[in-house]
Amino acid sequence: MADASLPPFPFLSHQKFAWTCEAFVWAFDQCEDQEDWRSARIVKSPTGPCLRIIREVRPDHEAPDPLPELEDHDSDPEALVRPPSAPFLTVEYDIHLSPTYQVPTLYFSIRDAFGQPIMSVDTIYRLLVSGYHAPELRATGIMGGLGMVNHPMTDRPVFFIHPCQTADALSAIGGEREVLLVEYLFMWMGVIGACVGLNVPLQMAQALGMTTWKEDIDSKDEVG
Amino acid sequence: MAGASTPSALQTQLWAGSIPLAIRLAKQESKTYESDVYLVYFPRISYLPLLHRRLHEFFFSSLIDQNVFPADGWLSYEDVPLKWHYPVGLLFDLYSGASEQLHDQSGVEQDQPDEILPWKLTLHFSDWPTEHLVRLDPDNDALRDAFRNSVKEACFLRHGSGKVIMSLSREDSTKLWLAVEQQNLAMFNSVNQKLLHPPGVSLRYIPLKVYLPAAAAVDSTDQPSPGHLRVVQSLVTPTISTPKGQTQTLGMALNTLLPTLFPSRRSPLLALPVLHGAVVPLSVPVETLAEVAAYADGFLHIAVVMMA
Repeated sequence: MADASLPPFPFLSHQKFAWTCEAFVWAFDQCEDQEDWRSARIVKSPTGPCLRIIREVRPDHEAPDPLPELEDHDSDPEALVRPPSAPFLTVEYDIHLSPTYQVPTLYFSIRDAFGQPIMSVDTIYRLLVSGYHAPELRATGIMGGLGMVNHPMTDRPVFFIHPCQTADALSAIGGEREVLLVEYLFMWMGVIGACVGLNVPLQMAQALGMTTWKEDIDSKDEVG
Repeated sequence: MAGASTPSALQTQLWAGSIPLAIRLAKQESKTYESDVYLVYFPRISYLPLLHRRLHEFFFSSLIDQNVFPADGWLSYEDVPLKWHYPVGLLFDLYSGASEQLHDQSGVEQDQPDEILPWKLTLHFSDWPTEHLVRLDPDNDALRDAFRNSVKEACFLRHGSGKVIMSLSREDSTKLWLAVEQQNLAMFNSVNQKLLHPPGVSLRYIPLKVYLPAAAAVDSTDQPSPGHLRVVQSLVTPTISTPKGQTQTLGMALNTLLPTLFPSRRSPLLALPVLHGAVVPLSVPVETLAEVAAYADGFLHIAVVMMA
């Protein structure tokens, strides 16, 4: 099924990225019983399509196993403990194809109930980054692989994960095996999304995992 | 090409290019009605936050709220918060209105009329425009990081991998930024040549970004905010894929990227490409242009200006 005119895995052409997003949204729409994401849809823009996933988190939520020093940062007003009844925060994840690195790039922002953006990196770490991922995110650069840029579509400042290591990470996981288009974003979320709380809902992974697995075996049969 | 680190005459001229700035403190932050004016010739290839320390010092006594720091500073032009991660030359070409006066295609330089120069900017230390600008930090780490990311991206485009930039020593990488801070072209070229011409690696794509102000980006879906930009980017090869491998000109690249704004590859009909304050002829090969006229991060940052 590999087309020689398209860039090889893990790189995506614009067309392949668009297909990948469509397949992903289709899979999301099939699974009605998940409660983790509020929505997953494709947003069209002059700079190409973007997959937008919206999730809600409680302001007092803590990503699993946080690093202790992230909690008592006194210069961070948003880190104040709020009552459990505090309204939800909305996390908007936008996945774009990087025109340079040719892999999906993750942009995200958190807004409070009044629509005000939360800009504190420490709050982002507390709410979204699990203790397991924190050291690697902080390892390179000022805020690590996590930084801020102006969004390619809205031009507003948002957080992003620098895509320069994405291709290597995907290759390490995908390896020699043929990766199907529908699997691509599942795999990408496992590597990139999971760092900041974007995990494929379990029901969705289960629903899709069965079909993908079957196709994979079929293609192996043909070869053998 | 010139010798290893000998700058071309054009590159020397571009690095020497400055914009006269007249910076006033925002009225609501100033103790006096008429604030003093900070006048400076600021290099086109440099970045505004490098001025903040001096501005903070200069205006400190006029500040109503003195509990602010240089990193709280931001500049605006006619209510457009200026994106500090862009070189000031690009900001000027995009927003000052000077580009609109470059319609003369003869290439003859025209003096900027008095109302544009010096470029009148407003300085703020409070009410950070969170919907427009990424925050700065006391050590300018965010600025340095943005510059490095851009350099990294340019390298990835040029040679198809991060190997060249990764193999740069820490010392060289520090030197590259220091050269920008100090406007030291010789120091800059001593490192940049390693990035441009690594042995045994061929050129794949030209680092080029095209900027459309809100007026030109008519198909924008979101409510455009003041100063909203659309950045257009694609994989631009130095030659086009014909059997002969014809050289790609700027006109060909713009025609592919923005066919509605550049319907012709040869002559500008609706819009003009502006780089370093000048209209670039469409016949210029992109590879040559990138070699001599790229900004310090390695990119050709081209502003698109609509023709009247």
